[in-house]
Amino acid sequence: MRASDDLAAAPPILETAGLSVVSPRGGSILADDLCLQAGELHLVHSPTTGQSAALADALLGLAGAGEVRFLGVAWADLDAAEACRLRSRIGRVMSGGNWLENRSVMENLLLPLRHQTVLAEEIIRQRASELALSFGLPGIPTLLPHQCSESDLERAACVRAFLGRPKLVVLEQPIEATESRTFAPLINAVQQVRRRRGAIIWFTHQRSLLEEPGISADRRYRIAGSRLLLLEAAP
Amino acid sequence: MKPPANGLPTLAAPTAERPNLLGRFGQGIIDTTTDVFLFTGDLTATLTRGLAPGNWRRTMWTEFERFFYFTGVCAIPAVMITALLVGLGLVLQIIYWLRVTGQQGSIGDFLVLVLIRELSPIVTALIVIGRSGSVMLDEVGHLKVNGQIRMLESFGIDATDFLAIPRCFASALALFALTTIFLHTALWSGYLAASLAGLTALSLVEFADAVLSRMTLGDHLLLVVKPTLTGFVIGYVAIWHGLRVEASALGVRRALPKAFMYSLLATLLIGIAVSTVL
Repeated sequence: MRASDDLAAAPPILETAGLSVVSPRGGSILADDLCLQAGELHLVHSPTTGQSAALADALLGLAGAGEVRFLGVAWADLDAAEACRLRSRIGRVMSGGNWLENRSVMENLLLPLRHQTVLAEEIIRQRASELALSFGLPGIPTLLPHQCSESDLERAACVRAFLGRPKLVVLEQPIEATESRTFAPLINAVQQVRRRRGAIIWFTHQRSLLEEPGISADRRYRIAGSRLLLLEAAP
Repeated sequence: MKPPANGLPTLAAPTAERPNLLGRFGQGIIDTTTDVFLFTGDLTATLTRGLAPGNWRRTMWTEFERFFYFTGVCAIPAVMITALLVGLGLVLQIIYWLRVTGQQGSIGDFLVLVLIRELSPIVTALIVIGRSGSVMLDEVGHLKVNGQIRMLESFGIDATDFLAIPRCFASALALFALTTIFLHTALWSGYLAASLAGLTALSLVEFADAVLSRMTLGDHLLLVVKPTLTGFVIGYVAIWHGLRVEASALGVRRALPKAFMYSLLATLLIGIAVSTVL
């Protein structure tokens, strides 16, 4: 069997079937037939952060009705411990950051890897430092989240999402605008994930970002009313 | 059915009738029983998972250290001051009245029964409930309301593993250590006060012997089992209520008195049960 056959036989990174998510605004969002293949980037325009958070939660098997399969495994078929183990292969930028307020940003950043792996502390710190530098931070921030600037927290949230070479990265409004200092390093990190056959789903509430040519998305969607509409698919 | 003569819309009839007093009482009993079963099941699962050494990850050890420091080490002054007052009030009184009634030989029996078996574990538990249980609930409740529990789960971190297990075990160990500190402070401060007041002719060694000689194996076991079990349950009551806080500004405030009452009830029930068995 050739390598290309192996790739063709590999399940999609993420796929949904009849997924229905309760929207915080009331009603539900239907996101059926979403399918992220290895190396793909999907861009979703969501008018509100609540809708993107609800959909992202559903993609991670934390909410919603219907089927979501990650790496070929349905969340519904897993018990809590197995689901946690599988979720450790997903990175996420949550809207608003969602930091543990009484821990330093550094503790927040290192928490997922410290919890899930037995990697030495120095190695985790070194990887986090390298990522922090690539996002333009002078190092891993050691202050409490409320003591950091919004720009630093924005970049630290990206570091947390990309740390540990995740197979899937869910980005919920990771940057406010393309002029943000985080934009270029973020695009670079996204391309690295795609090169190593991971996948990205990027939620944004800005139309300008949806039409940004610098983001070479494979598919572009829009949450319109109660449906996730496909706007454009790469040939 | 005919439409109203004036053509105005009428109010729709209520679809579900409000249950009567008996119905509400019955529903209350069903809800409480369900909660008790759920709580017991979750508590047992947390205890079982925490007792398996392979389940303890380094982040959980960090949490354990933080909460042991907060619940145990930081509570030492409060426990010692309370024990000092109990020692001066209770132990001194026991020594005094036994002397008045000519029953000095029963001093060990009284101290073992009142101070060691009953008072020390309960008073220390009350301090931990008020000082640490409420803080634990507040912290976990705010994590829930602010979506940080969701964040932990997103990153594959089980909230029970990360929040409940370390806090409950830290609370159990802290309560055991604090009960021991309370007991010794109360005992020796009471003896010292009685000696200074000339109420006892017993030397320090004789006093210690009078107490220790009356202690059975059951009393020694009780001093370990009662505080440890109570501490674990106090911690779990706080976390359990924190994880079920309603997502509103009043959610945590509503849960606090409820958790306090349940912690108090659990402390008394465990106290009675352990005292009966041991």
